Amino acid sequence: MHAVGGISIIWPASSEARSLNGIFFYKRPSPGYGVLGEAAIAFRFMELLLVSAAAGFIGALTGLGGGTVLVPIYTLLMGIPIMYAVGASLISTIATSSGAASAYVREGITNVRIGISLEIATTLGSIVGSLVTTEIYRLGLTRILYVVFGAVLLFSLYPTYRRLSMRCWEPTREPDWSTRLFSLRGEYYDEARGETVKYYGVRWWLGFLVMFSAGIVSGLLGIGSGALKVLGMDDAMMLPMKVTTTTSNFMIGVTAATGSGIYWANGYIQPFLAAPTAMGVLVGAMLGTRALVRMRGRTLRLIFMAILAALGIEMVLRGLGAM
Amino acid sequence: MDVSRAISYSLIIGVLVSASLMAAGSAMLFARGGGDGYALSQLASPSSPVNSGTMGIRGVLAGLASLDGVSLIFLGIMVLIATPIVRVLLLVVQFAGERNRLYLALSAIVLMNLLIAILVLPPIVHRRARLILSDTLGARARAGRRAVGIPAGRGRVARTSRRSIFRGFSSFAPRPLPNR
Repeated sequence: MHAVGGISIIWPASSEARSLNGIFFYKRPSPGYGVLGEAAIAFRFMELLLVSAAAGFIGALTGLGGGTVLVPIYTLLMGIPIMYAVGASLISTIATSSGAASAYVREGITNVRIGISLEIATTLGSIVGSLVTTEIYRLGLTRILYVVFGAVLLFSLYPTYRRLSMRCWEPTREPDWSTRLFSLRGEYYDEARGETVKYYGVRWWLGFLVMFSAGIVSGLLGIGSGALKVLGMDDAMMLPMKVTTTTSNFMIGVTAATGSGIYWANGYIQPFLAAPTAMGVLVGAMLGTRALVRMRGRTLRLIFMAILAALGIEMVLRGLGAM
Repeated sequence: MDVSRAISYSLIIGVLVSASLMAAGSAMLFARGGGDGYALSQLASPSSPVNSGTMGIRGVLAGLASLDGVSLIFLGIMVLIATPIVRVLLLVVQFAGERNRLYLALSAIVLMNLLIAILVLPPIVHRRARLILSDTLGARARAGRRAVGIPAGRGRVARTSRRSIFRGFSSFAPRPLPNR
């Protein structure tokens, strides 16, 4: 027996009960499912799967991550409340990270030491960010989140765009005290050069600060904030790109898991939305990573980034109340 | 090298188990036309009242006995959240084995942050969130009563009296509205 029927049968059909039902169960923004029933819901489920698979694909291809692509589509185009959108996005971030990491760790490119030493900053940042988000929703200031999300999306595009032009690793700084203390060294095999590259990282403290803000953004917006993490490791710590990509992927899973507890308690995780989102993004990200290896041209990625820039601007405008 | 292989396998297994639990849960939702006492249309609504705030770990475990779809999905999400935690835990083991004191301490701090964020903070946040939700629900109910022309006072009296009737016979009580 379904709950609606159940209540109306057992519960005396007082006007108050009906009004409560009316407020809670039948107050749906457009699309309504009441009439079309299960077929429409199955269609909606497939739609969520496909959209999140596409988001995961584009996220992997551009290097922004599935969540960054997903949240604007869910909120702007599909009418999903932002709190449920960020909840589903955070869960999908964990799926992408763990799904891709299993391949990376085996290849030995991920520098787990650098990752874990910076995770202290991202986990602390994520706790702060998700608690701030809790307060923002409590005060009903979700518009702020739209603005911040759009700004972060636009800001993330620059480092991501710069990474499209692949460069070899050339350190411009000598190893410093943090290189020695945290043994920020490693090596990886570079297929393009056909040799093993020995590398080192510098300015751990600066990377730590950038990671703390990346953690705050992750907790605040329910995304992996991989672009910010990459920025911290590429520019602040001068690590080679190949290493930062995989290490950042390792880190976004731990960061997202940190925020997920508080998201769970706040009720941001909606099962009917989170399940297809996590599965779709996982599959999409896997396909995107494969396609990235084979893809030569940058045109397609540039087109996707232009679309994302438009979505970022739209998020800011929505937040400012212009739309 | 053994630990990193263990990490790799634990991640693959975790993701596969989680994805299959979520797929099975979604299939159960469609097969039964709902889950956790809610109709499919309520679960699928964009502003659905069913979310993680209404279901704790105990609720999830209770629903698993009857293969409830919502519980299966939430279990899948829990498994997914557990994968990075297991990963960090295995790293702590690895650094302990290498007798690398600095990195043992660093990874232990990360694990501690994770556990605080997942085990300690959520109950505190949840208690506050529930209070806020009951406030907003109360406000919505009052607004609804105004909309159908019931004086605020009368409606409230009716509700409290019905509650007190059902308090003694909880098995006859109607299923409470979500988020209360």
